[in-house]
Amino acid sequence: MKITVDANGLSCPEPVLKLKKVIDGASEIELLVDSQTCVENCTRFAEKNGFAVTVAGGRGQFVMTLKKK
Amino acid sequence: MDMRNLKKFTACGGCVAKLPQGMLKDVLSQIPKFDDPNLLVGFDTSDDGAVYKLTDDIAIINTLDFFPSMVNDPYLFGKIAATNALSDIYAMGGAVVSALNIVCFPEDEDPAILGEILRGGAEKVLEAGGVLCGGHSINDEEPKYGLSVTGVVHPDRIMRNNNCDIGDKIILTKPLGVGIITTAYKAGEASQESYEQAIKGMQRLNKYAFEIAKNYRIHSCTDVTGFGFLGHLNEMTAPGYSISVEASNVLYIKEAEKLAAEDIITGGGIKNRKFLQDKVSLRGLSVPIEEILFDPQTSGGLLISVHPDDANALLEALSGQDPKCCIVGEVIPREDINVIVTP
Repeated sequence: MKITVDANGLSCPEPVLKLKKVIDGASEIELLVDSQTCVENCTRFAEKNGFAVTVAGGRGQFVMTLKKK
Repeated sequence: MDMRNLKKFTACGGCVAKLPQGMLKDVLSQIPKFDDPNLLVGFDTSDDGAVYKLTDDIAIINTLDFFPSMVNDPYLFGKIAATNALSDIYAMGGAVVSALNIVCFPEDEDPAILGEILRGGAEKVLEAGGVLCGGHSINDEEPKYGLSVTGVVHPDRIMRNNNCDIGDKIILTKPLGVGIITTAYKAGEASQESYEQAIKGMQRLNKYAFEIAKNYRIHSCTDVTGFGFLGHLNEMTAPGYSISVEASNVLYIKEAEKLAAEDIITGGGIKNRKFLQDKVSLRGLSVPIEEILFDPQTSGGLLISVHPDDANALLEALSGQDPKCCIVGEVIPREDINVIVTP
């Protein structure tokens, strides 16, 4: 089941902390963030936790798709 | 009293909230240049405060700093914001004369909270030996506070940030990791003990360290704030020399390393890393330690460039008051990069 985490309007490390709460046991997560900085930080965190990350969107609206490898 | 319930209460307060360094440099390069022989230090050298010569014996230092809170207690916020703003005067080698409050506060919130912020700030101005003599307040959803401070210095004794001599040792007077700890603490991820350590440092006036340091052969001084340890160290470099750092000598709040390993780092730290990527070389460091070196500090310590023969004596004198002082590196002949960090 896909989980959606809306981290729009939050600055680092809040999106990572939100992600951390749901990442255990998840297979697919859609993560919404609004800054490139958060994209980079969350990508690193997700990859470290065994997820493949794809990013769509840009300019203040990013949709990150995290899939368990 | 607690500020957590205010409508807009940022997670990334303090100097973490600074605009990125690269952006500022681009914007400032586009505004008119001021050419006044009495302006001894302006913003062209990214120094801590501006210095304007009034007479041959007296120059005034102007500086201001304000930011959203990084703590929930308004009184503590006032103390930290004021300590941070006052610090630039010491980093320029001066003494505090007067200060004005800078206030942003929501008009529909409890005025007692604002009262606590201002009480904390005023106490620090008093401790610094200055006079609080006014201020300006704006209605704003998100509370912000700081000071505009005026100091004085003899024009011959200005402490620029990039006037080091090759061979100098660099001393840091407060432990790093404050940005990571305060941000993580707000999210319930850092311990009370680490948080206490962070706020203790943030409330400590750099006045005490500078008063000791000025008795030694010091050549440059700056304070560590939003651009992080490496960002401010980079500003200490000049075309004639580089600075080398031994990371194992740099003191930091221990838990910050564990938090950084879990990617609990601030947006400000990520921006600092990006800005510094071609200015700093990091050889063989663990990622969490790198994050600590990039971590934005609020009301951080001084970085002091001191004659090598005075370094140990100064460290010893400082350590009596600030036990977390450390010699972090030295000024070396110019290399192709500004700052070289090894484990």
